[in-house]
Amino acid sequence: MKSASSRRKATKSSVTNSRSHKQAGQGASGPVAALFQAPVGVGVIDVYGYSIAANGWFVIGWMSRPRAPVLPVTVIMQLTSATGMREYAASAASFERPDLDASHVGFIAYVPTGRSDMTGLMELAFKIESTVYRAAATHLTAHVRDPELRQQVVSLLAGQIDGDPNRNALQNLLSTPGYTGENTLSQLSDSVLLEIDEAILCPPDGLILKGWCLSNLDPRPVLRVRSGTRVTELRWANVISTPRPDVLASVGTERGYTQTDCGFIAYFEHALTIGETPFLEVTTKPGVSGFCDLPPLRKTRLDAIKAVLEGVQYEHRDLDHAFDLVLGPAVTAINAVRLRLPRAAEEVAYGAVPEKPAFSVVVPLYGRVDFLEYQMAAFALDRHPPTIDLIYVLDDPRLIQDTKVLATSVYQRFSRAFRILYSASNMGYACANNLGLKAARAPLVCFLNSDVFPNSEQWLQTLASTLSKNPRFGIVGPRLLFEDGSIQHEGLTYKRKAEFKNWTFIEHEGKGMRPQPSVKPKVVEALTGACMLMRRSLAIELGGFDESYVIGDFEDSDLCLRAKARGLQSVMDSSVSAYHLERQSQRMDDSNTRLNLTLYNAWKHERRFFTHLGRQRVAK
Amino acid sequence: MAAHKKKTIRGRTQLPSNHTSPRVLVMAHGHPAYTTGGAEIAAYELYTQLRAQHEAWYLGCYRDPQNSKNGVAISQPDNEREYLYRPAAFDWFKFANQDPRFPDAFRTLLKTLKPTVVHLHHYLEFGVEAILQIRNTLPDCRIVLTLHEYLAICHHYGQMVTTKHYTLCHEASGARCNRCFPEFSEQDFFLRKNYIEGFFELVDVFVAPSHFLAERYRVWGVPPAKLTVIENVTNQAPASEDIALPAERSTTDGPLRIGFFGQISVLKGINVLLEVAALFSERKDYSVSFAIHGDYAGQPPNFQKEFLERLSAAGRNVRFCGPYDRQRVDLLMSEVDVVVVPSIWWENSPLVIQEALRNGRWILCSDIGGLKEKVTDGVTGAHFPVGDVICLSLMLADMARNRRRVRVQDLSLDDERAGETQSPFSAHLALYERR
Repeated sequence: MKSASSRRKATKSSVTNSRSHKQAGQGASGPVAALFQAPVGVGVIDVYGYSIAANGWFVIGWMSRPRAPVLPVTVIMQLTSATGMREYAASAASFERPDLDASHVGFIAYVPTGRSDMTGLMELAFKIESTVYRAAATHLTAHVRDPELRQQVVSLLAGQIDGDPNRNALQNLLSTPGYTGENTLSQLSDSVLLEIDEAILCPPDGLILKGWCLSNLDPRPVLRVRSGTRVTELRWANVISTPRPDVLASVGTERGYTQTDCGFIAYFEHALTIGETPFLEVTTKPGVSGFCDLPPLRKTRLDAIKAVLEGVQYEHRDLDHAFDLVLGPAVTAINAVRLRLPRAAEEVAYGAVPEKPAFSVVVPLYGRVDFLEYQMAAFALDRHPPTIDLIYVLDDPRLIQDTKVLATSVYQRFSRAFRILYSASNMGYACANNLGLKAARAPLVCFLNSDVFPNSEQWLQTLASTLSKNPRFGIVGPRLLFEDGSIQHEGLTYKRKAEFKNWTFIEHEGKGMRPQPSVKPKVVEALTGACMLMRRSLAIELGGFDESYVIGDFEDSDLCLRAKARGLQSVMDSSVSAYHLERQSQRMDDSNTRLNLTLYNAWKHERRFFTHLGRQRVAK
Repeated sequence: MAAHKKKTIRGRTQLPSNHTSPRVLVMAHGHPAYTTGGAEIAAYELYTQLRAQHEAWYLGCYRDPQNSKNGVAISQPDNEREYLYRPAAFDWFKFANQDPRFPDAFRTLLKTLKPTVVHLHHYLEFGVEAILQIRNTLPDCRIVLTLHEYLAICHHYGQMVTTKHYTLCHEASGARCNRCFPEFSEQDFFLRKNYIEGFFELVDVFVAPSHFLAERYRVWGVPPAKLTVIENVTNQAPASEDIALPAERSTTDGPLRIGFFGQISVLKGINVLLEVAALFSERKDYSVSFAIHGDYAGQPPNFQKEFLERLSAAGRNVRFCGPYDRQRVDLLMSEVDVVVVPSIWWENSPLVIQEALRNGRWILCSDIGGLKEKVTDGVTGAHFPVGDVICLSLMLADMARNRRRVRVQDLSLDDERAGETQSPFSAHLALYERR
């Protein structure tokens, strides 16, 4: 510790202190003003630093001896640093120093705050029984880091502090070795084998961890995610357990482990502090912990969603547990960011948009832009065309240039006016349709897929006429056929599937069969979005399609069921038919991930419309 | 002995006076000045004969490699009656013209000429949408479409032979077409057919140069009421009374001279012919000689290489005479005894058969499609099983021994019917007036 020279400095700094104190007092806020009244105890900060293990700052120095023999356990301290002056509830202990005279004593204080909060510490002040004690930093004050800080503190606490109740508390803060970025699990005496394969950010501050853990301990080790001052404990009851035969085969059996379901997927809703690297603390028994770092959080948006959902076959597992507690909220959080992205789209009109169109037809385009040619030919060859406000939404920025070239020639060839909204990013089916809806002008809007080709004369007029037959009719759609003339769609129905925990899935009744002679329009449970006509006012009232489903699925049913909730029915008019050349959408490398994405959408849909309150799993 | 008079057929070429003269725009995807396909030759011939007595114009195409007159879609390089379109971006799958300059230029031309009839030979290069553009610009105009090849039916150059082994195809279907072209799905073929049919509905009359072709299209979906069969209009060369028919020559007069006329390609059966020639050469049988007239320059490099190799390996009985000028075909045909048309695809109404008939040459052809229809077995020629090299060689050997067999039947017996037979030209004219 410091020698007599510090003592000399003590006098000098006290002068400085009182001067600075007066300066501070003049324009200062309440607490400092209060201090101004009280007599002043002075001191010096020798060393300070941030302890990773303790998650806070240690400040060591000396000051004039307080009248009370022992410092209170918790002291409100004011610390002034480069970032300003702040108050904390700190712990402190005093100790004797041979190099100091009887009127001075050493102190060690622990301030629980983040690493970035106290750079450039200048002064520490606290009040005990109306006496203000302050210690100031000098040019000799050392700002040290782990492990040097730790060594100093430990030796101090071990050697010199005795009998002070705070000593134990402070010692406990350091009982676990600090996390230095290294994986220390192997150093634990009770063996725990653990690895985190992937960490995925669920904005704004949530986390998904995918990994595995093998241990024979009972109770199981406690896992905590630490990030800045945040510590979040993993609840084993709320994780998804997954089979990891590969782990068992490689390391498990040779060490005598037998758990086949040693994999886990855990969700932490608020675990991260921005700017602080998170890590995992594994505690096998009280006071005994190891650390493990987490893989970097790289993935965002759709990649992140796929990463959350891939790798596990959920159809055979408890879907309610998996989605309610882990996958559902995680994907929803990741998806929410995508939904907040700005929707930039360039509108180009080919020909003059009709002034008073009877119908607005909205068609999302993706991948196959030659469908534009085929559809426009159909519109151009229509012998009884109504005035149509035709809006294509290109949801495929890779094809903007090609589409512009094609659109120019299409307009020249067919002389039918249309608009194209060129979206700057791929937004998805629901967003594309909603964008088109915003631009629509006619009183009736028809959502049409690019691979649907009307096969009846006056198809729009007939659908409109059916819609107007009954005020309870909200949405009308035609019969859709495959190219061989068999039925592709005649209304949607719902079916619970036992293999998917009795969740509700959508079916097309009669799909693949030869069509029967058409009958009068019939009310159905829902209609496919491939071709649906409704009043534009209704579409707007419903807010268009729900954009929070991931990669298309269920949005059309969702829309129809929300209309139904307002007392409006979906109607299928089989006198109007169209070809729907349904093709495999979005080829994904992994069909299992594709299935799980569908399960996410099914979960959303199920919870919104088909689950009664109380049946949903809630996190314990 | 008097040379057998070549029969000429005359028909009605004068319109009844109470009809207004049709104003006809003839369109073809080529122009004889630049390309030598059968369709543009027939189209141009029709136009030439029309122009003699009526208001007629010709709109052809030329894929100009130099892209002269840059930016102008339709121009008049030769005279006031003829226009030329320089195509730019054509989708061969559904015959869509993606050139944005064409529709306006075409509509302007239509409005300028105001034809009462537009006769399309092919929608290639112009695009099937041209039919809609005609209908929209001239609502009362009569739209006539002559079908050459089976383009609307078959994506394999309209030949209706498979892509794998050139086997004959009898009917198109999504599944069958997808087997020939795996890169296009059944749905793509459905869309293609739908696209073409939509525009076909606006056509008033479909002209098929052969019954065989008409039947194929009827099966495909063209309404029979709109289909009519009229032979291609050809240039009726003046009758030459000096042509000596083979029947007049003695049987010992040198080898039987076989002539091949036309494009040298696999589908035209050149390989069949060369194999037959090889059979004769191997046996050192020189009773038959083969003269090949035609061009191979438009063929893929592999084929050209193979053809030249076969030629150099061919015996003394084969003579390659190279490409020929259309004007010289009569003279060239007079130098052969038999014209062989060994095509391995259906054909429609090959020009070479018309020319051979005109010149009174015996025609030996494959027993399929338009070939079988245009050549009457035993009367104007004989059929052999398509691709059957052995059979063809036996027939030729037999003909070499019996020259009588290659004598065209005396058609003067049909003269009584001559007056009733309408010439293709007058049949076309009648078509233009019919409502």
